[in-house]
Amino acid sequence: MDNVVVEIKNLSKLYRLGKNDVYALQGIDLKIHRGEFVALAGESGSGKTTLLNLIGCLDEPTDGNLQVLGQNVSTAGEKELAALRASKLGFVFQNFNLVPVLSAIENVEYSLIASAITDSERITRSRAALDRVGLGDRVSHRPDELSGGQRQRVAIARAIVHRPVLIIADEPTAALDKKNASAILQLLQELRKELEVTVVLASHDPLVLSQADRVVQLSDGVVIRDEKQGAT
Amino acid sequence: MILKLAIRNLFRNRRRTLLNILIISGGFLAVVIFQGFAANILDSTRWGAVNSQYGHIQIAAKKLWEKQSEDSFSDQQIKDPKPLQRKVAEISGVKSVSSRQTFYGLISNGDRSVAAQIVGFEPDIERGILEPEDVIAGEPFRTAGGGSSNIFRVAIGEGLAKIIDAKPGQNLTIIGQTADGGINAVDAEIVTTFRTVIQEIDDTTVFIPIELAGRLLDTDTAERLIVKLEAHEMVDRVLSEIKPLVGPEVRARSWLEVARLFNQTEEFFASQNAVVATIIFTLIFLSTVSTVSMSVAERTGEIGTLRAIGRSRSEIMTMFVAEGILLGLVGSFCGVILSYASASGISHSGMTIVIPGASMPIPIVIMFVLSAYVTALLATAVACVLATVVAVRKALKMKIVDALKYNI
Repeated sequence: MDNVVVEIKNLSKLYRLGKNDVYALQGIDLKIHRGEFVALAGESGSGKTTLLNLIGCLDEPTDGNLQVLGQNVSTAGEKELAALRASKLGFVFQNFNLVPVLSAIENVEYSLIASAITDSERITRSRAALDRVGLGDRVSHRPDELSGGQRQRVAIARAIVHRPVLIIADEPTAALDKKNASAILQLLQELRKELEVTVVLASHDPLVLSQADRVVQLSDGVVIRDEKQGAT
Repeated sequence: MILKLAIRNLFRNRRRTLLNILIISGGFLAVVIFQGFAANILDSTRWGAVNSQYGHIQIAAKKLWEKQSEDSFSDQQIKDPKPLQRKVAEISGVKSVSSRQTFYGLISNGDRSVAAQIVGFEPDIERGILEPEDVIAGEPFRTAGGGSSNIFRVAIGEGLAKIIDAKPGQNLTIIGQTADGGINAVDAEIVTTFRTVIQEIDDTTVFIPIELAGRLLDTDTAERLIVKLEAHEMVDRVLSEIKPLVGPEVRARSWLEVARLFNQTEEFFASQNAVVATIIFTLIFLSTVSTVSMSVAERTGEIGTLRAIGRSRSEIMTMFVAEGILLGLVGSFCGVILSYASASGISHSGMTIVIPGASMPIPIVIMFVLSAYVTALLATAVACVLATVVAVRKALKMKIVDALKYNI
């Protein structure tokens, strides 16, 4: 049980669209263990992003139980969830979501701003994270001075700089060409091993799904397949 | 990091930020110039009121202050004013003490007669009533040390002189009611025609030496004593020292208690300043709400991202408030420079303004009022912070997943 990072029981998410109730997720049961590389797959509207957002504590479930790193997401307060996201979770978004007025290193640093560390340690760790993703020579560049692949690397550096337990990645390769997409996946795989971090990502890209060691397939808000693939 | 972010975010859309800074500094300028202009008018009025009308302190019979209709002329007079005048003159800070007698009578130069306000005063002591620059014809109005022949001279207001076609060198007969109710008349020479800044005085008033007023009214009493001080700030202290010197039938009052028109003017300017400042700071507030709202709309996705990576609502609000404060500070700084330069330019331009009731234009001077600068600075800061909070609150209330849907 100790190595369970995410535990989901009978999870539902209901959206009210006008007078109609629409279930984005219904009766989901899932366990994700430490070090796993899990891909949430499915067509558009299948519920994979909704599930990813719930696992990332960005949204609240309508029903059921969701435990992330031992924290009950349904009952936790906003501050507790913000602290959990800041200290234990790392996020990688489809469109990189970097702050455009900050340089690469400042974007990474910003993730550590509330941490109880000195300014010099913050800079050292941020530089190390950028070095690790291969952008040691681009620390002063702003997002608009970087390519798509480089921006996503900065986003990954921001996601790992505080040494998270769980990385949440929503369509991390969707805005990239094949070469960059492959490199980003490769990087995530390496980091997963180095940092013993769990990676959960949502994607419908076959390349991504082929790299994951477990694929959870969703359709109309329910899990229709949960398969482990060969070790990568 | 917060400050760095605030500065860089302000530079994101330079044109928008510049426009907002211009609005803030323009508003700052308007408030400071308006208050500086009003302060100068008030200061001139204060100086004029004290110097030529009220003095700093007035001493008069209690019944004159109360103005009951059944009180007789003598009830409203200070009997034997000279000893009190001397005692008050010995108080430290007192520049002069003079007596005055004001009454209504008829004036005639033979051809025409007209009612006028007659003001008896001591022209050699109370020089502020008729300054040399007020004289438009004739000579400065003095009694030259007081020989009895020197008291038969009068100064007549420009408007009044026109009505009866009077000129310096002519004789004027003044007819009035004596202290015990009889009718009396004196003849005097017009030596001065004057024009003050107050048209009403020029149209109605004749100044005469107090001794001539005494002869006409057949009395040696004084309607009031006018006390002038070395500084406005001494009024309260001197007033408290005068009070034990006067008898139970006499009261001393500060000029502010007497000068109703000045008080009303001051209240009017205070209200007008408040209304103008409120309108301007509301415009600054709305302009900043608009600027920050546009910025927030463009950065909703960024707000979502920052919250996703664990930044709290208060941290994000602090970031935007820092931008608002910075905007306000830069706008205010520009406003200070612009205001100071404009105030100097206007004050030295020689422009004039005619205010209601004035007989001549007065120069426009923008006074430096520190409190106007401080108030404008604080009000700008408050307006900018409030505007930021109003604009950002809605975006911060949004769910993270909804905010993330906005493009970054």
